[in-house]
Amino acid sequence: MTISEAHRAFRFGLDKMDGLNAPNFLPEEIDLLLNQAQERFIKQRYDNTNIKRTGFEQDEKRTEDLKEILESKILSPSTTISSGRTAINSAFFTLPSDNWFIIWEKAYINCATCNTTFTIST
Amino acid sequence: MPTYTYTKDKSVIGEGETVTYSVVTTDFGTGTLYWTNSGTTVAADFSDNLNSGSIAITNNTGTLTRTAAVDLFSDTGETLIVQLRTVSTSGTIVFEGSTVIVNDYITINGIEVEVRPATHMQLELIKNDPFKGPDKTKVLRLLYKNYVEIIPASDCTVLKYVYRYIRTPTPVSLSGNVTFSLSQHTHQEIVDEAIKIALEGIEGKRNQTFTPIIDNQKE
Repeated sequence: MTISEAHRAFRFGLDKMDGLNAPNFLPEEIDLLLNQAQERFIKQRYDNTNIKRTGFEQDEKRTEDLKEILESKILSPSTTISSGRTAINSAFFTLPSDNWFIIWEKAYINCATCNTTFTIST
Repeated sequence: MPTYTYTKDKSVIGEGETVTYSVVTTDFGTGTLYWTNSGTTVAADFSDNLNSGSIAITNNTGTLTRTAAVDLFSDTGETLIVQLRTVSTSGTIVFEGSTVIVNDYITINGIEVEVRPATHMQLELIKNDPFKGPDKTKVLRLLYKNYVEIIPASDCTVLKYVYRYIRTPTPVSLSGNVTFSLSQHTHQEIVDEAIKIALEGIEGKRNQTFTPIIDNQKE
């Protein structure tokens, strides 16, 4: 569905539900409502506050619902954040600006006594 | 006559890693240069999904960064060759540097460990706990506004943090011709949700019953 089609579907649906009582929303207002709806849709399908009470990847439909916004990153320690360190050897990693929910994670560390060379396929 | 060149900080990158090009010109001053890629990588191989673009040049210097996307397909040995162009992305090529190899793996000399989310309040209690604290099999993770802190055991250092996440959707915009970020099959459901929000606002009732215009059984 293109954004124009989404606007038409919104106006049509609202007229059908509310007859002539519905206000004539401006395009910017419809954008706002569609954005609110998109965020609510994602939250409801990430956790289980939806009709089927199934969360992210708990069934095929939920996997399909959110697969387009699933991202993966390999991050290196930040060289710009240095203050407020909890431990002298801890490391900061800057998250992407579009980060919302972390769903899976692991780390690679270097220890004096237990190193192995890893190759990470991406 | 202006001259154009660049240097780069890496010759090989793994996916998820970034190469930075430092562009230097003479007698160009301030303006815009354009870049294209004549290597084997395509737009989808980069995190910004671009394979050409512009570079702002200020006082004869500018910077271009390319971050290789993390994907699930094996495509080792792809190449990135940045070409500098004037006028537009199809304008005259004025410089082409050497190749950057883009591998679908990175090599790490370390060990893979579990990441355990920790809270700021419980940290002092658990960071020295022999069972809950960091050791050779796990690290602790603290979440801040736009970064995380990974806390390893006292004799270890952290090399990489690998994670998957749900990203925020790109806001839709009629004037910008931007549609939903989610799959096609969700679009009518989102429109129905928008109608529900609109009706809630109109009626001033948060718990209004709403029957969508299409079959909502695919919930």
